[in-house]
This record gives sequence, structure tokens and C-alpha cells, in this order.
Amino acid sequence: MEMLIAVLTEMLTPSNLLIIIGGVILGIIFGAVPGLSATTGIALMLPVSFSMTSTTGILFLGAIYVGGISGGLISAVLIGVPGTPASVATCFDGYPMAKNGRASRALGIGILSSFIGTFVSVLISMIFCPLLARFAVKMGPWEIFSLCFCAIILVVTMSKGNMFNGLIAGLLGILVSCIGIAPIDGAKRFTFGVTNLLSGVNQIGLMLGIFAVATLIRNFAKGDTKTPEIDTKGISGFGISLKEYFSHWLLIIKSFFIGLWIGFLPGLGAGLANLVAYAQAKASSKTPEKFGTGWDEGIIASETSNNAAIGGAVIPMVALGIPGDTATAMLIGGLMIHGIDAGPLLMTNHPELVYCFFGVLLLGALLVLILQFFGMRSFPYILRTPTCYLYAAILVICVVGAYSDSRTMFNCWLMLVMGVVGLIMALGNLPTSPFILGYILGPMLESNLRKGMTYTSDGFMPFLTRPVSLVLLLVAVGSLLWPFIRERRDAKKKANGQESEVDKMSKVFDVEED
Amino acid sequence: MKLNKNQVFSILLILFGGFVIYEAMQLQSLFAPASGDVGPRFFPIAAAVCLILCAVGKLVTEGKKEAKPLFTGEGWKRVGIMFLLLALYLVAMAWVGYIISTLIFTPLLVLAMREDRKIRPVTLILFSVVTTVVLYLVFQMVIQVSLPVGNLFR
Repeated sequence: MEMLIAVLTEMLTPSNLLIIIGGVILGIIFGAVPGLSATTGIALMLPVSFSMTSTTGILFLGAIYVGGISGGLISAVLIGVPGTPASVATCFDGYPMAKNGRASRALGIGILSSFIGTFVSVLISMIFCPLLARFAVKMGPWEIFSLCFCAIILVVTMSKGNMFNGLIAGLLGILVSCIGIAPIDGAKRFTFGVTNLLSGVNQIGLMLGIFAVATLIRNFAKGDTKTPEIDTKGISGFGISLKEYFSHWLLIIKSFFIGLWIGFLPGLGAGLANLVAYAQAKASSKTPEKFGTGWDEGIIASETSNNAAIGGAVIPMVALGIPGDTATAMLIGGLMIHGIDAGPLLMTNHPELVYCFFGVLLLGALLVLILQFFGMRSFPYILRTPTCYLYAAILVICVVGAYSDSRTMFNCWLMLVMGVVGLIMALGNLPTSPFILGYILGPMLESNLRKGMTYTSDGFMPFLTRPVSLVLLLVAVGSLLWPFIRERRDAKKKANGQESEVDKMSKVFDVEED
Repeated sequence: MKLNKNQVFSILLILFGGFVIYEAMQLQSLFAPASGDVGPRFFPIAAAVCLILCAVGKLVTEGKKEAKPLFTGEGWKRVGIMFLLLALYLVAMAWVGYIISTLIFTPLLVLAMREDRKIRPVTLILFSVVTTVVLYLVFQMVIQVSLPVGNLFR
């Protein structure tokens, strides 16, 4: 009870409330504009959050996160292009419905589903996090090392594409994190005499470079920056009554749990959840032929599941300090900038901060509902923002943001170099999420490995003899074999002319998981 | 023998891994070996060895396939222009400071990315001034970061 009052007093101060509303609006815009995402929004606003107190900072970033995941719905419905990978499946029924002159109904269903997905999943994660954290604080360096190792491997093996590319990206992230002063003994590593590198590769410079500069330049080079045509007819009212909406309660519950579970697994987030839930809804529907023609159930499945993934992804982030996807990795980065160690001790050491984070996710979901409902008519304007102006402003913000973190031009150059690294990685088909995870978890991996080795005289043995650590390592090794099994299974299916629904759908748009 | 893009990429990764191992070998542990600590070189070397193994894996699995081109020729030109503009912006910022460099480079960035959109000069000037001033106010006044004044004006 005391905690609730403390959190509410913190969150509802006028200045914090304004910051949360601003964050949600920014998030919706970043989610809505195709090519940008919640991740870009959080990266761009990290330097701004630096000047705030740690609580206000996390309120701001959390608000952007919720807004960003929900905002993807807008462009999916109005222009048929997913604003984020999280809303690919929303396009399948949302866009045809809008084209039939029922854009309000599509948006209404999407907005309600987003709200339910986020709100309930965050409530569930609030129950699970303390339970998991209570167990997590008992872990020694051996278990933490194995957990980080397992998380990186899972992110790599469960995402799409060649496993080697994911592993290479993760290892490059780990190597970048080795630059600077080594943990435990403080030896200088790979600094090549550059004083600015002593404290390591700056997080803000790296994130802005990889997720903002490289993303924007890639979009521009691909020619994805033309302003879309939007039909504004059919945007008025909510389009669906609550009674009609909740008649789909079974589908809502099913999609919700698919999203929650997929979000919880490391490496899989809202980007996959919406496709799986859509395929599931279609498979179990009495009228599967109506999917893809502007059918309510398609939008409900996609939007409930992608938002439910938020709550799922937050559980390992808060309870274990392990980010499940890029956006949560950024949020952990945000905490680290404030000197807060996101790890198993986060809930014990900073309970107020954690509950403020949950609070902002809940309040954010409510604000998204209100803002999207009343702001529906302004959606076309967001999408019509000329990209050349928007991108130019974002690039200038990147430069100023990178400068403001360390107050040196070196950091701006670092950001530019990281932009080049981002493009080189794209050239070699390397995904970015394992890279950022390797970068964030690298120091945790190394310091726990070295601590574990020095605590006993048995060297590496305790990593294999302690049961939890052993299980985690076995899971990691087992999942390394999974892609080979999957490949064999898929090859067999392809040979038989079968292809899974999710595989087919993910090929419709060239949207990459970020 | 002509190598394709995937092969070149994998070989460069292997070379990079070798370079990391070479550099890491020079590092000295600051602790006595009796402590059981593996020292600062173990972790990067282990990561680099894995990197080399994975690069070999990439070479074997993807090496025969020709990589999908990331951009067209026009696309690469755009990449070059954007990085050049940003680099010049940073050089200008170091010399003439935030305000002048941003007033000059914001419109240049807009023009570079305008595609076939018609840009009215008045809008462009207004946009640049507003962007520069708003960011100045936010960062200099609210966040209290003193933005660069430029070496020329020091």
C-alpha cells in the first residue's frame, strides 16, 4: 500500500504527468511512421532522459515504449504498411477494412485490443516479477553467467535467418563491450591510446548510430521515404460497440496468452507474436476464408497479441536484468546511464523505480487508449509528415544527443562510425538485436565468469556442477542444435509442398525484426 | 577465383577475429595467477575464437550463395551523400559551433532527402531556424548541456 502511494505521488506530479503524456505521443508517432519504431524513439530520447532523475527518466522511456508498440497500428490500417514489425498481421485485415470505408472500425478494434493486451499483460508481469526476482537474488555468479549466456544464445537461435549470422552479431557486440577498462582488475583493453575509449564505447553513441543513423540512412537509400496517399474517408466515431467487441472474448484471451508467452521468451517479441496469433485465429475460425478481407477477428488477434508481448518481455527484464528484445535492451541501457544496475537485485534495491516502471506502462496503455480515440482524426497528418523534414530533424537530434552525453565531439564521430558499422552489418545480413544484447550483457558475462572462477579453487567446474547453472547451459547448448532440426523439418515440409502460415505471412512485407 | 560478397565478408570477419586475438595477447593480467582469475585477455580471446568459428560456419553455409544486394547503385550514392553531409556537419560544428552549423546543415539534409517533393524556400528556412532554436532551448536551457561554440570563436 505504501509503495502504491509512493508510486502514485511520484507519477502524478504535474511535471511527470506531462513527461509521460509527451512520451506516449512521441512513441505513437515513432510507431506510426513506417521505418521508425519504438526502438528508434527510445534511442533518440536516451540523451534527453539522462538529464532527468532516474525515476522520471524511466517514466519517459517507458511511455515511449508503450506508445511505440501501439502506434504501429495506425499506418497498418490507414496505408497498409506496418509501422513496426509488431503490426504486420494488422495490415492483413485492417487495411482492407479501411479501404471498404470502415477505417474507424478497424482503428477502434485495434485500439481496444492494444489496450487490453498491454494493460492485462503488465498486471500479470507485476505478479510474476517479484516471484522470479525472489528466486533470482539467490543466484551466484555461476548462475548469472549461465543465464546471460543462455539468453544470448536463445535470442540468436530463436530468431529468423542463419544462426551463424546471429552468433556473429552477438559476438561482435561482446567484443565491442570489451573495449575500455576490464572488469575485476581494471586493465586497459583495446583503447589504442584513445582516452575517450577508456570508459568503453559510449552507449548513447552506439545506440544512436546503430538504431537511428543507420536505420534512417537505410530507409532513405532504399527509397522508403515517399509520403503515402491516405484516404481519410471513414474516420469518425469508434466504429464498434463494446458489446460487439467483447463477443470475441475467447479469441481475445487466446491471442493474449500467445503474445504474453512469445514476449516472455528471449529473442521473440511482438514481431512474431502477431503473426502466430493471426495464424492461430485463422486456423481455429469457422470462417477462415473471410480473413484478409477486413475481418474483425484478424485485427483483434494481431493487436491483442503484439501488445501482450510487452508484459511478457518486461518479466525477464525486470526480474533478471535480461532484455528479451531490442526495446527492453534500450530500457536497460537507460537504467545503466543513471548508474542503476539492472540485474536480479533491481527489485530489491530499487523497488520504487520498478513499480514506477510498471505504473507508467499501465498509465501509458490508458493514455494510448484515450489519445488514439480522440486523436483518430489527426492520424493521417502524422503519416503525411514529409519524411525529408522528419529525418533531417531526427539526424540533427542524434548529433546533439550524442554530443550532450559526454560533451565531446568524439561521441558524435563514434555515432557516425557506429552508423557505418550498422550498415556493414546489414551488408553481411547480421541482425542487430543479438549485437545490442551482446553489448549490454558482455560486461555481465565477463565479470560473473571471472568472479565465479576466483570464488572457488575448482576453476570452471562449479558452472557445470551447480544444478541451475548446468540446466541453463544445457538449454543453451540444446537450442544451438535447434536450428539444424528446424531446417531439416522445414526442408521436409517444403518438399511436401507445405509451408507454415507464419512463414508465408512474414514474407508479405520486407520488415525486419529490430 | 572470384569471391562473392558472402565469402569476402566471412574472410574479413576471420581476419578481424585474428586481429583481436593478436591484440588481446599483449594484455597482462594485473592479478597473481594464484587467484584463479583468468585475466583480461581470456574473455576477448574466447569471443574472437568463437567469432572465427562462426565466420567459418557462415562461409560454409552461405558462401556459395550470392548475397542479395542491399541497395541499388543509386542507393549507395545516397548512403555516401548522407554520411558525407553528416561528417561535414560534425567538422563544421567543431569549428563554427552548434548554431551556425545547424542552420546550414539542416536545410542541406532536407534537400538531400527531398526525393521529388517541391520545397518552398520559406518553409525550408523557417524549418531550419525552428529546429535549431528549439533544440538549442531544450539542450542548452532545459538539459543544461553547453553546446559547442566552435574553435573559431573560443
